[in-house]
Parts: sequence; C-alpha cells; structure tokens
Amino acid sequence: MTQSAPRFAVVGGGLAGLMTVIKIAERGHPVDVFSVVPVKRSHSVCAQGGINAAVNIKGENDSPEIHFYDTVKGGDFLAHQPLCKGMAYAAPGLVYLLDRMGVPFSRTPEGNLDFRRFGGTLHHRTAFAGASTGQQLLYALDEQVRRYEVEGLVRKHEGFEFLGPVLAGPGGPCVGLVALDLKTMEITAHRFDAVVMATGGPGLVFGRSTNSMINTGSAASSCYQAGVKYANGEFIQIHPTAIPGEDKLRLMSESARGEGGRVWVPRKKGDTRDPREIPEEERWYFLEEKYPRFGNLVPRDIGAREIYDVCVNKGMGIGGQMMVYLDLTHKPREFLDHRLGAILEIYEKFAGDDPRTVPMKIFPAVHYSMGGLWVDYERTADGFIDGDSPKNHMTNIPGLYAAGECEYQYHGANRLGANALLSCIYSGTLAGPAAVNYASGLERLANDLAEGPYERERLRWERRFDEIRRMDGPENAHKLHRELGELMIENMTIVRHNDALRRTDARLQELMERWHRIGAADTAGWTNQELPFINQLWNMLELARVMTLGALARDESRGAHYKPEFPERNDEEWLKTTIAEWTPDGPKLSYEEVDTSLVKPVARKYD
Amino acid sequence: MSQEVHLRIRRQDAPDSQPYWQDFRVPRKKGMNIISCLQEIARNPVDAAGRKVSPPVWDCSCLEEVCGACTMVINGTPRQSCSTLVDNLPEGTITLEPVAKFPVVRDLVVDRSAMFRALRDVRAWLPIDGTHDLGPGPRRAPGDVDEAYVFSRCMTCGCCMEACPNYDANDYEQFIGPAPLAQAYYFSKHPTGAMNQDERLEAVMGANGITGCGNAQNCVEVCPKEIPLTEAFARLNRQANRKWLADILGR
Amino acid sequence: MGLTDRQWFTLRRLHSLSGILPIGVFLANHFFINSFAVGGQEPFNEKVHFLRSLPYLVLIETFGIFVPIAFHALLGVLIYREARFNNRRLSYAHNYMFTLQRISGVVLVFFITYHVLFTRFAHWFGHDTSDMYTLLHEKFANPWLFAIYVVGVCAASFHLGNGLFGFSIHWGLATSRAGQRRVARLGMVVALVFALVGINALLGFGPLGGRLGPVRIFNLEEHAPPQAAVARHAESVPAPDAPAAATEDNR
Repeated sequence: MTQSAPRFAVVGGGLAGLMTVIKIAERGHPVDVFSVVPVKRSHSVCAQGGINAAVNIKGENDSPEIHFYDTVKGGDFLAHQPLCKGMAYAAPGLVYLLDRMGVPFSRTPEGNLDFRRFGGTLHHRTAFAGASTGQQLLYALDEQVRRYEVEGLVRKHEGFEFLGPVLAGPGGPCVGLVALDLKTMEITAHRFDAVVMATGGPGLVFGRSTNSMINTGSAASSCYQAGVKYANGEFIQIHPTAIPGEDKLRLMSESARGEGGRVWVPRKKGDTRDPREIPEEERWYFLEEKYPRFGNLVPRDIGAREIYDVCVNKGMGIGGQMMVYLDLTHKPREFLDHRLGAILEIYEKFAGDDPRTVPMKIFPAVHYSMGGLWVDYERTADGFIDGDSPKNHMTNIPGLYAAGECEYQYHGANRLGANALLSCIYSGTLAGPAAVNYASGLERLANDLAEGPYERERLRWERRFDEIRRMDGPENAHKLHRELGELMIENMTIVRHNDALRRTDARLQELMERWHRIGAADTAGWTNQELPFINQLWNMLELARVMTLGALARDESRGAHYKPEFPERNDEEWLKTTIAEWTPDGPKLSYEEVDTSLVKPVARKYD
Repeated sequence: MSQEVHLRIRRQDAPDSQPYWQDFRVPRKKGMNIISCLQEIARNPVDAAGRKVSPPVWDCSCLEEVCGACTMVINGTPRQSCSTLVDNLPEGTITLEPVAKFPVVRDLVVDRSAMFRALRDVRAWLPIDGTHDLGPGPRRAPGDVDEAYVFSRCMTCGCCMEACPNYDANDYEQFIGPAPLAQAYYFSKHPTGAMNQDERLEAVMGANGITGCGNAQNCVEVCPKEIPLTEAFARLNRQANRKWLADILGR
Repeated sequence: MGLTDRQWFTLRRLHSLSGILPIGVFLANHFFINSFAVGGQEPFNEKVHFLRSLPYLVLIETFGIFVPIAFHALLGVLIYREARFNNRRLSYAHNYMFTLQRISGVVLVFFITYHVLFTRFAHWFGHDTSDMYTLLHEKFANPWLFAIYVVGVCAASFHLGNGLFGFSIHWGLATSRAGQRRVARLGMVVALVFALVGINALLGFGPLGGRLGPVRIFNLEEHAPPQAAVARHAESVPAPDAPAAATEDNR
C-alpha cells in the first residue's frame, strides 16, 4: 500500500479534456491540465451549430435509438456501435447537465431548450446557443473546472506543450509525460498514473482548414510515434460550407442550412450577374433537386462531394471557381440575427458582405478528423458501454487514454453535424472514470517509481530541441508547412486517386527530408515559437503519411473517403478499421473488425 | 493603393528588456488581415531594410474572433488582429503593439493570467450539485436567455481591460477590470446563479471591485463582441448597493 | 490602508453620494445666493449678513459643507491617482469626460482652498469683511484673479454636471446605454446652467474695475449698482444681449 494518491494528467483543455477533468475531480482526485493555450481559448470555441440530443421537444417521435441509427448510418457503418448507442442514449442527460451548468441555450416560447435541424437527420435534434454553441459549452465546463481549481483539486499548466508520454518500458505502461513550457522553453518530465490525451484534431496538416492554429495534431502524432496505434487516419471530413481566407478557412456552420439556408449555383455556366439579380428559375438548387428528402441537409461528405461535382466536373461553380451560393436572404433579418447572429457576423467581418441581404459565397474546407488515436472500450451484453471499465478510451498503452477528436471511435467514415460536441463531452464522461478506475487498481504509483524513464525522456526531448535550435539550413518551416497543406488539400480531400496518393506519399517523404534542412529562424531561449513549430511540423508530416497511406490502401468509397476508381462501399473487404503503427520506415498498416452487432449495415441513402 | 503593407511592430525580447520598433513590408493581398501579415513575416523573416531578423512572436488561435487570443494594439486601438482587415485600416503604416496593461512576455505576447485569476475571484460559475443526470435545468424565458447570452460571448480577450483607464494588471489590487465584473453579473442573472449572488457580490464589492469603475466607458467602445458592459455595471451597482444597505440596516 | 473591503465600499459610496448631497445642493444654493450680486452691493451684502446670522451656523458650515467637501476632495485625489489617462489613443467622448472629471476635481481642490481662505477667512488676512461685495469687487479688479474664479466656477459646474452621470450609474439609476446617454446629456445641461449662473454672479461684482457687468434679466426689482462702481460704470450698462459675449470673453 503506497502513501501517495494517484495523480492524473489531462492534456488539452477543450470539451473532451475539461469534461474528463471534471469527472476525475468530482471523484475527489487531484488532476493536472496541460494546454498550449489558456483552456478557455481551446478550439472547441469554434464549434457553432449545436449539440445533438434526441429529446423530442418538437413531438416528432425522435428517440435516442433513432439518433443512434442516424449516427451509425451517417458514419457509413464504420463507427463502433455500442459507443454510438451509449452516446445517443446519454445525450439528453448531457445536454441537461450543460443546461444546469448555465449554458445559455436558446429557448422555446415555453422556456424549454429549443432544438434545430442539422445534417443527416430528419428530426429537430440539435440544441444550440445562438450560433456559438461550442464557445458556450466550453465556457460552461471551464467554469466548473475553475470551481475545482479554487478548491485546489485542479492545477492548470497553461502555455505548456505536450511533447510525449513517459513509458515505464517498451509498450507501457504510461507513467507520465514530458512538457515544454512555451514561455521559458524549459522541458520537464512529470509523474502521472494516468494520462488522458484530449488534444483535438490535426487540421493544420492540411495547411489552411476550419481548425484553429493550435490544431496541429502534434500531440497525437507524438503518441503514435511512441507506440500508440492510429486508427482510420484517412477519414477526413470536408465541411461543405466555409469562407475562403488567406490565413484560414472560416467555418460557415451547417446550422445556416439547418435554419433554412439553400445552396445553389446559376443554371447558366459562367453567369457573372449579381446573385440578387438572378431570378429564381435560373438558380439551380442542386442539393434539393437530387436529395428531395434531406435536401440541403445531406451529411457533409455528400454535400461536399456534390459541390465538387457541380464545380469541378460540371464547371458550374461561381466564376468557374470551387464556390457556390449559400442563401439565407429569404429569411427575416430578425430571425437570422437571433438564431445565427454569431456566424453571420463572422461572414460579414471577413467577407465584407451582409449575408442577410446577399447570398454567401462558400466552398468546402477540411474540418474534422474522424480518425485518431486507437482506443478501446468495454461493452455490455445488451450493446451498451460498461461505464466502470478502465478499458474505455484506453489506448494500446496502459495508462494512456484519449478522448475527443484525437481518438477515432464515434464517427466512423463521416461525422454528422452537431455530434462532435456530443462525442467530446461523452468521451470525457467515460475517459475520466476509466482513468480513475485504472489508477486505483495500480500496485505501484508513479511517485514511487525510479527517476530513470523520466530523466531519459526529458533528456531525449532536450536533445531534440537542441538539434532543432541548431538547424541552419535554407528551408523555412512555414513555407514547408504551406507546401504540405497544398499537397494534402489537392490529393487527400474530397476525391482521391491511387496514383495521386502514391505521388503524395513520395512528396511527403521528400518534405520529411527537406525538414532536416530547415533553418531555425529564431534561436532565442525565451518564448520561441519557431522551435515548437518545427517540432510540430515533423509530427504533422508523420500524420500526413498515416492519412495518405491509409487512403491509398482503402480501395473503396465510404463516407468521407471517395475514390472514383472504386465508387462503391465494399463491406466484404473494407468494413474494418485501419490501424497504423509507427515504424522507422513509415506507418505499418493493419486492420481490425468493427462492432456492427446492433445495426446491420445497409445501403446509405438520403434521397 | 500601395502594393505593399508597411508594418511597424513594437518588439521586446523579454519581460525586462527594452522595447524597440521594427519595420516590415509584406505583399498586399485582397482581404488580408493582420494575422496573414504576421504569417507572411514568419515565412520570410526579413525587416524592411532587408535584414534577417527573428520573426515577431504573437498569440493567436481560432482566427475567427471567438478564442480571444490575438488581442493587440493596432494603430493605437486594442482589438483582435484576426478580424482587423488591412483594407479597412487607413492607408499608411500599421503599428502593432502588445497590449500595455498586461506584462509583456515577448514581442506581442502578453501575460493575461490576471484575467483568469479575476474570474476565480468573482466566482464565475454555477455551483451545480454534480454531473450526474438530474434532469433539465430551470426553465428560462427566451428573452432572459437572449440577454444573458450576450455576456456569455465574452472571450477574455482583454480589449476592455486595455482600454480601461483605471485598470492595470500590474496593480491588480486596485481594480479587477471590466470583463470579470460583467461575468459576475452574468452568473447572477441565471436562476441557479442567483442563489449565490451574495458570494459574487462580496467580490464585486471588494476594494478592487465595482467601485474601481470610473465610467470612462471605453470598455464598451472597444469590446469586439459589443457586450453591454456598462449596463451590467449599473445593474451590479444597484445589486451591490442593495446588499450594502441590507447589511447595514438588516433585512 | 487598513480598511476592510466593506469600509472602503462604504467610503466610495459616500463619496459618490456626497458629491450630490450635500455638496451639489450646497453648490446650487451657493451660486443662487451669490447671484444676488447681480443686483449689486446692497442685496448681496444683505444676504451675506443673513447667512452669517443663521442659527447653528458653525455646525452647518462644518458638517454640512466643510467635512463633506474635504472628504470628497481627499478621496477624490486617491481616485485621481488611480487613473492612467489614455485620451490620445481612445478619443471617445466619455473618456474625455472621465479625464476632465478628474482634472476638474484637482483644480477644485486648489481653487476651493484658496476661495475659502480668501472669503470665509478673509479676516485672518486683515480684510474688512463687513462689506464682502466691495472686497470682491476690488479683488476682481485683478484680471488673473477674476480668470481663476471663472475657471473655478466652470470646473465646479462641470464636475457636478458630469458627476450626475457617474452618480446615476453608481446608484444603479440609469442602467441602459440609452438611459445613461440621456443622463450624460442632462448633466451637461446642468453644468451649462451652473456655469452661466455662476459666471453671471461673478460679473455682478463688476470685475476688472467695473469694465464688466452682469446680465440683469428676469429681475423684478432694479437695485442701484454699488457706489464705488457707479462712477466708472455709468455709460456702459450692458444691453440684454451682451452677456453671452461677455461670458465668452472670459472663458
């Protein structure tokens, strides 16, 4: 029996991370949070539309079972069904919890939570707080964490970058982590009995995306390089509607369509008229035409593909570009301000037009990674999740957990809108207790371990950063990053061709070689942003290969992964999870079965 | 219109070192914001005189004005550098400075931890009973929620703190600042939060609390989210005075 | 300072209150009574004697006027020291008001000290206080001294008028932005009225050796101008439309 109590670390302060923190602290355990930014600035704030929960407030006979089915079908049957089921059934309770935490959810006239429509379902199932739901949810969790911080249970390490896990031996268990203080540039090793990764998506692998600048995927990639399996890397969600920008592609929420927004292009190719002057009969509402049932609210993979088809294959994009109109001008201004104010402001500020009077010009952009760190779960006989199992959300390295966008389980081949906030929070409610249950079963706590592995890892990372600091080649890390992004956007987004993917992987390896010829533009020993970025860039390159090779291998079309050479879903050969394991020679791929015991895969149709 | 954007950036290598100005030129692009200028400098870290320099360090994350990270003083006004479009600024040199009320870490990066500390001080949360399923929260009138929602959009960016002539993070004991006060008001607006309004008011009535507000009202002018801060302060004052009198005279 | 949070809050609230009650009320009374100077030597001196004959005068003067003003001034100086003016960068109307409020406050500390010594305690300096009108008339022959008084009157008027705006927020009376704007405008009207009345009262003493005189409007009874002033002043009784110009000249 040891004297000390188990210690927990959560890496990442977004929805998944903070929910994990709350769940651990609520059980009375101290927990340390590591985050590159103050947790209140995490990327979850960018989520706009809402969070799904089948509360059936509109009397549409909605139920968690239908939500579960929609999620599995939306993910083209690659999601793990017991988890989806657990999530769908937990959703109403979680939304109520958030409500109790004070999230200013929009209300019905009777004072109940209001719900709106989102893609991939026919029900009003999405609770929302104006059009800044993610921000509101994150703040609610941040506030609860602050409460525990005041009580002394939570310690925040904001402005710290996770560099890698500390493993007691090859294959685990994980007994701590190494972190870089982004202010002082000091590298330190920390002892923990369980570490939960909640580090979000890898959008920056694609250069410009709808993701925040902190979403490099670097932490997840570092875990992958330390031996954690990476699953379904090839499944990258392209959001059909984003606003082009020089620095990033800003999201135009699906809620714009959920509230009645219509997507169209001029029927006449190359029509240069002002959209307001194009009469109704000369507009082609191609989504409504092709999908009469779901219309503009088809799932994102389908929406993005249709826009690609209209713009690239048919050449009918606005001005010949990959761009279509998203039209809200038929809705009353007051309604729009109330329901969508935040996102319309963003469009107005960055694009310069008032979307209440002029149709928005939007185009598809990289948005979300369905894939991520491989994690486990424990199901019960009736197809639910055993909430007490320490296996839930544990990676293949004992003691190392993952929750939120950085893991892979909930969304299969395509995520439905407004399911991300839900899966982040739900996964936190599983990962936290799982970590606690794991640590309380440990015979020896991290505090009692020898200094060896900690010192070894710390020194390894110090050496790594010394090497980076000394890099004086001709390449600029940011320019390389831009090339990486352009390469990935061209070949790894809506449409994928095997020959292009092979070329992409070759180019990636070339970029990795050129990475060694980078010159560190800043060698200062204080708040140096170049050194971590060069390190992140390497990690992005590693992940890019996982994604690309996963896509190259998967000769079928499923969800967000579409190959014109193999346009159909092929359940016989490919209803399985792609697993990538790091080797010095590149990712080694293998495959694993998906639990589809609850809903038999059927053809995925939305028309 | 000039083909180049001319930026003057106030730099500082470390908290205790002397600040200095550095000039940069970047190619002008349509619709570019301050962030894309800084990104361009990072890709090509050369100053206007052609000297190789270390790229300026700055804070940013979401680039769509919800995370609050990228606050700077741009041409004298505190604002988000992501939503500041070059085309909307007057022709001529653009000056970028770190916000002055918080300690500079390096270049344009400042330490705004005082703002988060203040959120702890004003007890900006609802004391829920637990995260287990207890059913929905209290019903709320749509109008009440709409009013509250505006305050919930505060992203702790610090523009109001920078603009406030009575605020200085280096002198925290003097005034806690506009943003945290508005949050105290926000939480007491919630039916659950109203139950422990007194605890929050205790902080609001502290020596560095609401009495530190001098009604310059710059906060509300510079708030990127147009949060009606000064209305919150008047209402907070009303609540505080009521408590003050009640505590003196007995309830 | 050794004060508890609540004591400090109380002091700040009393500070806000004391500006209106009793100081604002006193100022209104003071300007009005002194406006008898518009009528000339006799009515003015009559009022002075009347005031001097008030029962409990010393108590009223001490606790109704001196203590509140001294308290308001002392705390005001502390408040002044909190401010870091930033008008050059943030040139919003209320920000100027904020600065002016503090500067006028400091001006008033000096002015009122001088004014009290020079009038209420003039006998300490060997002056004959039985004819205050003549004393002031003679003093105001000095254009600098007269100018100082005009500045003092204007500072007091502005400080009170703008103080109404702060008062309305500190006491949670004006909560909406529009409401606060209305109070601010009302405050400026009050300031203007006080300044005009105050300056006219000063003019009543025939400053600059009688080259300037007051505007006499709405007076039911004409009083004779003071003996001393009559001779030099006979031809130039100002026309009803002259006052504006006269006021303007002296600002």
